[in-house]
Amino acid sequence: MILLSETPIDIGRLHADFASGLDDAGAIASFVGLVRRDGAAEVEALFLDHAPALTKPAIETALETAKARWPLIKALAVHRIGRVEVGDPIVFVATASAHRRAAFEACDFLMDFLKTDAPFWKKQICRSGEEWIEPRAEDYADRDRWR
Amino acid sequence: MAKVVFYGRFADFMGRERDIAVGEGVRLETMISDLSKENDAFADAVKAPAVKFAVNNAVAPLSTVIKEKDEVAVLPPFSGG
Repeated sequence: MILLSETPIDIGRLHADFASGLDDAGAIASFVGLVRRDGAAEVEALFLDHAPALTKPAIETALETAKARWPLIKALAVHRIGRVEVGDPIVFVATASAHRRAAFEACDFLMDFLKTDAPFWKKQICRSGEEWIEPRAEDYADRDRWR
Repeated sequence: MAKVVFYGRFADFMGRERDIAVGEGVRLETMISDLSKENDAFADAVKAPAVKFAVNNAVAPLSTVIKEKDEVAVLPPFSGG
């Protein structure tokens, strides 16, 4: 399942809802990405742009790829769009499986996908101005581990 | 006319969207080249290897022929999460 949210996301509630009724799961792995202050940059917020007609289908494809590659019982990706304040969650990914390894790896895979292959664009809003953030070489290297 | 939509930093350079007249058999590459003449920053940034284009909501190569009522999306390198 995918959710794009223009308002702050409640990680506790998302996790509780995800974990509810998973009688066959022996493991849940989850990841929360946060907007960080980033020291000298003094980030105040991020602005997340997305392409409405492209973003959800791209994530759906990644979730289907994950389900085909690992024996997942359930997978969820929640991503903020719009302005996200420092300290707020920007992304939540959760995966459930019978055993932990599949859940860990699928969660890792989905996050790598979201960093470089999902149509999102991040603008860093600092006290000194605004700047669009480019993906780093490490982000591409992380994604390429799964190829 | 075709609609061109710019995302991320490209929207700062070019505005969010615009309608563009399309000639017979015009390729996406030509359309982007013509748009690049309007803004030097866009012209530089759109050449980056990780830039992608979509036509009618599917990623498309620069050789794609653009037709009336097509929607073209100009997508900077993705940066989510």
